[in-house]
Amino acid sequence: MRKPESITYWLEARPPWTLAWMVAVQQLSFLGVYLVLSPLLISSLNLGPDHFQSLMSSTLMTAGLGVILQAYGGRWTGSGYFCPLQVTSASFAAMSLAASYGGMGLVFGMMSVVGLTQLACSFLFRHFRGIFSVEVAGLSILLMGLGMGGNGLRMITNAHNAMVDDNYDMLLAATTLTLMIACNVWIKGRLRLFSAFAGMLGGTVCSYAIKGDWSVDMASLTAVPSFRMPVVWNHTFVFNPELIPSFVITGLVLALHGFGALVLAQRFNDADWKRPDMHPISSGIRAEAITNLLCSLSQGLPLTSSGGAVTLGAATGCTSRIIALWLGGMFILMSFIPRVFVLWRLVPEPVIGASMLFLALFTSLAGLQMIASRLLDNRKIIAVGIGLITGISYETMTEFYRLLPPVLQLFTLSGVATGVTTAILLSALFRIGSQTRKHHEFDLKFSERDEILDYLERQGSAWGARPEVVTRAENATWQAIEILIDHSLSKNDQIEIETIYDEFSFSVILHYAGGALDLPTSPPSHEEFLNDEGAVLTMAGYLLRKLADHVRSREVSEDHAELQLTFRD
Amino acid sequence: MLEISSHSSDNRLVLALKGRVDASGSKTLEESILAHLEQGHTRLILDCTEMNYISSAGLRSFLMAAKKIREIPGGTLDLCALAPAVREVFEISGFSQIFSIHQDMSQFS
Repeated sequence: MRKPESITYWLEARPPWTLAWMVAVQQLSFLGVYLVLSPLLISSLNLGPDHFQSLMSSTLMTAGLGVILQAYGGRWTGSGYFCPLQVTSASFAAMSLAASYGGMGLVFGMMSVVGLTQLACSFLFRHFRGIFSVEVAGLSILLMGLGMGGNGLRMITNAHNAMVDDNYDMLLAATTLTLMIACNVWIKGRLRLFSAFAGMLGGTVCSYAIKGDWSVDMASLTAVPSFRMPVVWNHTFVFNPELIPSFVITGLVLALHGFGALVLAQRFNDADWKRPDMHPISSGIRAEAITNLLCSLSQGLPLTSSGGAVTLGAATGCTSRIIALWLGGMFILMSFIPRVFVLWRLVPEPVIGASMLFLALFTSLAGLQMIASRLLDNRKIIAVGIGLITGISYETMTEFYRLLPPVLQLFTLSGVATGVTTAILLSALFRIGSQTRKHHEFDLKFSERDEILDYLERQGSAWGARPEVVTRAENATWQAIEILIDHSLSKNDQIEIETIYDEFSFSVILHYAGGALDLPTSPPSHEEFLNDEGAVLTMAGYLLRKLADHVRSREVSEDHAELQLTFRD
Repeated sequence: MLEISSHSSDNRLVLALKGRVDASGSKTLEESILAHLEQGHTRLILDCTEMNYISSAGLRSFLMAAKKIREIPGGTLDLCALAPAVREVFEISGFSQIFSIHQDMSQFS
């Protein structure tokens, strides 16, 4: 794990408190918008002001505990990354359904199923690493970014901002975006840490400067108490077995969403990132599961890891875990201050839209890079490609998805859910019959070099290895074959090539008739190399030892030897 | 299979190598360099832009060429534009220290 150059304060770094609290405020201003807007979108819940405040308080309290648990929960619970939680629209469909069946008591009762499902997923995901591959993780992040960017654009273009004339919406969005980009790209030093906040603040100030009259907003602000003890609604928890599938699927979608955000956190925190490390991801999903069980008990909204907040940290150069303590503390503190909820609601939609667009740029490009970092064979191209197209087309085909049978509708609650579910199902389907170990015999009298290299490349693509690893394997394998033939170490022209791939390495084993190849630990001297023909063999053995990450040469039987070259992926 | 083409640049002879310097390619390279030395070209540049593979036999022919050229007063041998995989072999074998290796051909054009 290596610190990326773009990160100023890495995971274990301790930024000065004067900076840390500002970075936390920036995160708060971004995440708060989701928290406050979300319940407004669930119109079917018909929340009164008191209930709204209670729902917000409980959600903020658990979001605060959740972000701390995620960063510092320990080995079993918590990923160890700064990965804040947010409310997501993916849970609204099931919640609205439960509310229509049996009111809020049923909503909160059934929400425990979401947490329990996430808990189960945290264990299951680790056993299906082949399906939850780099390209599927990349797809989920790409779709998350595209979804965020699409929502941002929609908020900018469709905003009917009561504060200012519609014509000013574009101006507000442009001001916000310009400030964010200017602070992020051209300004060096600490201001870059607050580029998103600077944009949001600038856009909001601009909106109020245009509007001039603040009296309505001030009235709505003073209408709510400045301090209120968080109160649980005291709804009796109700369960309905009929609704279990809906909430199980919601839990699965949230777990997938969390998987994407946690992979994103790993990717942004490691300049040498190659593949998802499933242990911290599973622990991270468990932290989310526990948070959602707490949400169910405290009667708040379900939460999931926020890809946007993770991106915000990375884009502004601060991914330090210590921010989780600041942010968690602020969330908990604010659960006592209802006025803050109103403040968030006063941030103009075009400003929020521009912020989402800004963060979506980083998220989607990170997803694209992840997909492109692997060799993809036709199976993977089809699985990821169909997932991508179904995910992207979701917004334009909502009518189609609405007409699907109810069981399928549960899997298509959002573009991310639809795309990732499709890719996972196809990946699982294509794994039937695929092997991680393959043998092929070559007769070197008739086989060209390119034929052997094509074979290795096909295996690398089928298993999604990185291109540079396959190239290294190709060069070393040909080096080995060349000396086996040229120095008559193989008694005939038959060489069997066995390829083995697992999550971490790509191995090539050459089986041939003959003795074991010597693999010296030092090269021949230049004099030896020039004057002794046999020194070419010594140099070749030395090169093989160094070109592969692990090499083994042995005589299996009297007339059969093998040379194993292993390359870490 | 190794293809070698040549042209003059800045009072030096540039040999552009295309393909693999394996057991058979190394013989082609050795013969080509010896032929050019006999013709009186003592300042050589090997343009490796399109050379994608080198084996231990190939390394030997490079070393052989370097030795021959150094025996000639004023003789020089420069290597340019090594592909990453080829560069790795030069690094591992210690050959990157005995050859003058350049990132690209720009300084000779």
